[in-house]
Amino acid sequence: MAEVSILVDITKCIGCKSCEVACKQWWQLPAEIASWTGSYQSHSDLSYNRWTMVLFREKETADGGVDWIFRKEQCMHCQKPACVAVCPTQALARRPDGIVDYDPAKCIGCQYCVEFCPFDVPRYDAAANKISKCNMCADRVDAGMEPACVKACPTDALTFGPREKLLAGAEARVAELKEAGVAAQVYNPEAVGGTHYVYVLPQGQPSEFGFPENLRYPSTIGLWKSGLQPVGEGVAALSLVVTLAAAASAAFFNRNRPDGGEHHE
Amino acid sequence: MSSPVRNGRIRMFNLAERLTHGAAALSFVVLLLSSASMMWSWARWLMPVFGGPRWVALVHVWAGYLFTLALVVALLGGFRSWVLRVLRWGPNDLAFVRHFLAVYFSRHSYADAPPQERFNGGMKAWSLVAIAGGLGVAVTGLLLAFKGSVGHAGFQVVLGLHVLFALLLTAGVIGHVYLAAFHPEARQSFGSMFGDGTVSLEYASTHHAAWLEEVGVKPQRAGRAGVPERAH
Ligand code: HEM
Repeated sequence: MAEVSILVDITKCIGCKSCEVACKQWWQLPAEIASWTGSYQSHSDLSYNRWTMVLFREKETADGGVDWIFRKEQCMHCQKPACVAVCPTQALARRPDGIVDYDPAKCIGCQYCVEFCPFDVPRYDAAANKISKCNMCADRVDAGMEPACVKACPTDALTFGPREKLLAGAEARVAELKEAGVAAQVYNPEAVGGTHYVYVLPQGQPSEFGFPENLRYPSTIGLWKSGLQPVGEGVAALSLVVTLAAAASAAFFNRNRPDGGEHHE
Repeated sequence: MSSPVRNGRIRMFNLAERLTHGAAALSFVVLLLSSASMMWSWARWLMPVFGGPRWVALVHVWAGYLFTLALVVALLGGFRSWVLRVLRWGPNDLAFVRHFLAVYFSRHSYADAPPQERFNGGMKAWSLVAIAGGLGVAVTGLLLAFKGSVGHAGFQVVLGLHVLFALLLTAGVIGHVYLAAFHPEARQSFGSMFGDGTVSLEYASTHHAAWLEEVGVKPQRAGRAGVPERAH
């Protein structure tokens, strides 16, 4: 199956939040009334019932004006998802098409994904003892539809399609912007093997758009999964084998005892 | 002072010791099996025993609190009668440890080692391993349970350490349970730890002669537990 992606072209986003609402509506997520965040941003953060939202940032320009930045936030659907690597029950799974899917029925609420996600995306709810996050509307995709947020976007800042095609489109758009004097770039970070949410960012560091400063795939996963755990499993298995041998040995030596072995009180 | 011997039996573990040990053993079994059902897909079938995906992680954490409580109570309450005693090593303890593998494989008898105290060299060694391993899993487990105490990066490292401590402790418990429940000679003490706390004078004489002397009881000479007479 060909990989899919969503391209977010920040230069086309008007901050209307249709994507936020469409996501809530499609997934029947309850509304959450929040107090004023100090800007047009609807809430301060993602939550268990808010899998995507538009971040609003203001940035002073060289000539004293203000750049208003809108950046849609949600699960990035990493090519190399840390959450999938640490999820003990495969509740999080990377599909062949690149979508990092989530099955709440398998989730045990351990929150390892919350602790290991380099983008700080999954959100835990204690009452449900589960996490939640965007799954790129995997069910809609399977039915041949585009994700709800993409469907609702009025300016085509969001487009969905085959990954290769979208990546080429992103490069073309960046070239076009550069020609117009905007130092744009594609955000598809190599640290996590690339992401299935690909962004066209206008000038500025990714961190100015709310992405992590030093994005890294957690090396602690290797320490745990290929280091400490196999060592412990080896020692425990050795103990079991030696003990079974000891039990066999006990049977042997007891049989060979003149008094028939075991002592009875 | 009256003799500690009643009907040919002598108290080895008092009620507090049996209760804290029982709580540690019970919670350990729950901790091991619940984590196995989460950690290894071949043990997934055990998960419904602990309430399925909805509850298994929470059961694990609460069993961890019980284990930690049992360990702390044992360490504080048994500081003099247990901790200090298993820290004090003499030549007879070392001699027991040298015999240990042969005893474990039932080639030698406990009686082949020189007289042992209430805690023999093996019990002292296991006590120290259990204390170190138990504190290791308990402390790392608490840090994991209280999220935010060590930050995301800290959590990631502590998780690996928790798994390591738990598996090392499991390696020890496998040997401990074999001796306590299955080893032809050693399992005679099972009924004391999980029963009324007493062992027969005969068992105490062959396994813990130095202890009997310490409490002023004359060890029995005849009838070594579970072994035929053997020339030395
Ligand atoms: C799970 C099943 C367990 C069983 C059947 C079991 C059984 C026993 C028995 C029968 C004794 C008395 C041994 C003797 O008098 O020679 C004992 C002692 C002891 N147990 Fe356990 N136990 C179990 C689990 C644990 C666990 C999980 C720990 C700690 C992590 C533990 C720590 C100890 C210690 C420190 C002693 C005293 C020293 C010794 O006798 O070796 N036990 N246990």
